[in-house]
Amino acid sequence: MAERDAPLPPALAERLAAAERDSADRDFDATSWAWMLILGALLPLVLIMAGWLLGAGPAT
Amino acid sequence: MSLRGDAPADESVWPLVPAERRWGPWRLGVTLATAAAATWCYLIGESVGGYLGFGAGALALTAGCMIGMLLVLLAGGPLSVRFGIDSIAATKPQFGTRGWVIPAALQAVSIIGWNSLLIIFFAKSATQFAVALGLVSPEAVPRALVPALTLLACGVIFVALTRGATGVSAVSNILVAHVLVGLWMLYLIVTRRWPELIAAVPAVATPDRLWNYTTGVELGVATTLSWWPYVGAMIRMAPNGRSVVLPVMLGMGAPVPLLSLIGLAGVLVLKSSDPAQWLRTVGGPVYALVALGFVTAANFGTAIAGIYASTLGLRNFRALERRPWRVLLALTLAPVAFVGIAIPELFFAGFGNFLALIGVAFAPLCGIQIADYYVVRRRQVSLRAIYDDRPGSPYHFWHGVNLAAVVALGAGCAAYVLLLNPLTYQSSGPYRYLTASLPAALVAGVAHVLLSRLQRARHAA
Repeated sequence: MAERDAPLPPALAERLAAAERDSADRDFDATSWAWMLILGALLPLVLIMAGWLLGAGPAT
Repeated sequence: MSLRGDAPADESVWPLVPAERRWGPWRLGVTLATAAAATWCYLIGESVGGYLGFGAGALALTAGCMIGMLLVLLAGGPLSVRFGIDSIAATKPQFGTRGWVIPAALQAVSIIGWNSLLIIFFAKSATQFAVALGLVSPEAVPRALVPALTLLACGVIFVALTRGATGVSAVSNILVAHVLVGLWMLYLIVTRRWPELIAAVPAVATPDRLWNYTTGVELGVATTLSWWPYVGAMIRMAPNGRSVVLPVMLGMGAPVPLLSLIGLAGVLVLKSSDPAQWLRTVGGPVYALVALGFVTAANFGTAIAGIYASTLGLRNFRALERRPWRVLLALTLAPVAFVGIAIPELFFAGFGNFLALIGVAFAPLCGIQIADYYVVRRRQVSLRAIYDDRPGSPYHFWHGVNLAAVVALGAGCAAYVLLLNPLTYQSSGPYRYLTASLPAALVAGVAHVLLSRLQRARHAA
């Protein structure tokens, strides 16, 4: 795995600059976080509790 | 903007610029759904059906899959959606400008391994399909048929992927229909065998009902964590974070548990997770034929997405950076073709355990990436540094390797194996309350944060 000794190629540098510009705006926004929390945390919690109530939990 | 004036951007690991990221939520969701739905869905359902009944199994598996999908999305997602880079390039801030070969190796072994299995499944299903159609006599199936079909599948994948990500999307638009066929199969068994399904008792359930339930959740989490290698290559085609969340969570996270219910219901009621077998019982030979078509199409779609992601990952190696895309495709497909043609049975018998062990690493890997982005770097990542591997660059660390991430990965894997042996399913400690994947991700994430701070303190001193 050779390392690059020379500076970045101009075409790559140009591409990096374009991709990095305003990149923070492309991160997950408030709506994204809301959906992630609903589908990835809240929904699983509800499903796990529902399964528990269905009798999957520990025997009493 | 062209890459080097010749190669399309989606065949390179250089970042995609905003103008090239044109996949909308629907296109991304269809591609991810086609990639997620494959033979393993009903194998997962079969595993869960060993421990849990239909209702509890469906709930535990769905919950686990959605949790796992969230972890995958939070791990590599931020860098892929911000900068348009693939999963492997997104590991350089954590593992270093040389250390990324560790996740790259995980990706390559996992994808090539699983896709070898899928293509062998594909060839076998297609053979059965030919027998069912009367094209081949069941008593005289040519020995060369499965290897020939494997080679044919590799050839078709090669041709489809000469168009890069566009090829993946185009094939997915056709093959996504199999997801609907899968849902129809689920409808059939649920409506026709509902009383038996509800009354069915899982075959290898332990007396500890909490352990059984936790194992159902763990199987879901671990399954979706193994999508880590696929996700980055796909979501970088979408313009921003908002446009990927629902396609990933619903397009990739939801079909897996839904289609796994086919295997879960099948193993509980008819003692077989393979829909090609039980659909014959439920609906006769025509239904069996449909199921075989489903299996054939499903594995093919997944293999195409996997081979694309793996081929793209190869581009991160400097020696392969400027090789023609077709050469890289051939390099990725060669081991798959070799396995399918030369050693399919040996591979079936011996490689499954190895893949199970490899899968252990994805939970810690996700934990490290999440901790690195949100805690260590507080969302401040330099894209330029990801592509600058000269000594002294920000992600060069120690000889190109970030020891903090490597040690944290080891700690997370150790935590997983201590809690749950992935081969024997012998568990210990708080597994029954916590699963194994979630603590493994947490241990790795915490270790990465602590070791990174220690490194910084020493560096400052």
